[in-house]
Amino acid sequence: MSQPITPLASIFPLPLGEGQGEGAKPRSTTEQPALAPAWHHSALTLTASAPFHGVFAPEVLLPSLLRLCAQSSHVVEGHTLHRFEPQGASLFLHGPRLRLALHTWPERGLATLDVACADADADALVDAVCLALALRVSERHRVCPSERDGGAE
Amino acid sequence: MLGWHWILDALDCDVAALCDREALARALVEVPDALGLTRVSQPQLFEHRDGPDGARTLAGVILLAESHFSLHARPHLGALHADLFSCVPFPASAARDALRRYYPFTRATEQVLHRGEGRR
Repeated sequence: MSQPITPLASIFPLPLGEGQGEGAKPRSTTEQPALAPAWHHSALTLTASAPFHGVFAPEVLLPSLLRLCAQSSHVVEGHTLHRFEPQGASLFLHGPRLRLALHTWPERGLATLDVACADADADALVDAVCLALALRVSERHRVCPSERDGGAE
Repeated sequence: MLGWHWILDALDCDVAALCDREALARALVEVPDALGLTRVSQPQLFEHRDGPDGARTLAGVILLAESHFSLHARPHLGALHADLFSCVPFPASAARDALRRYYPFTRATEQVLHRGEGRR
């Protein structure tokens, strides 16, 4: 399943410009070419197999993600976690060359995972997370500002 | 549909602002506030030396009831990366304007992802 990034102007009342519309590339506020950041970002929606609550429990997620990052040679220097009541959690891990954000909706069996890496190997960590937590990727956006390109699969 | 994800890469930012930890912390708090979003954590800041010749970069995140807001300042490039994910819609123009109070950039690329829209 392929799906373009939703153009900004279709959601918010911004003036349409060149490059807007179906399948638009990221919108630039000027005509000048963008500098190329080296970070590559995968933004995913994940689906869990039942039982959702066990997989998405923060006491399971946090150590699992820290272990997977270490196994993937990603240095994590800090993390922050919030537990929602009655369920659900938000987690953010940060390192010199890594940003990882996970938000869970256990009641729906869904999570979003964002992995941004400075060395373009976000997919390896995504695959490891999905395998370890028995999650299935149901939507994937690739955000590559350096190429002014992106899309969902 | 799980949420709206605004991603902005700003260029030509003021280098002094990009090096300012206090500005970063304030932006992490006040940009979500300006959009009516609800903070559920304190801003968490990180400092790295990962640029060329050990150039310093600053980053930070704050968790929201609606998801998260993060910033990554790269002074050696004059660049700022912002990423705001919310399960409730918000005007990207307001987010951009609020961010410009702390980082008056002149060039940027931005996009909004619809998260969870295409899930099977």
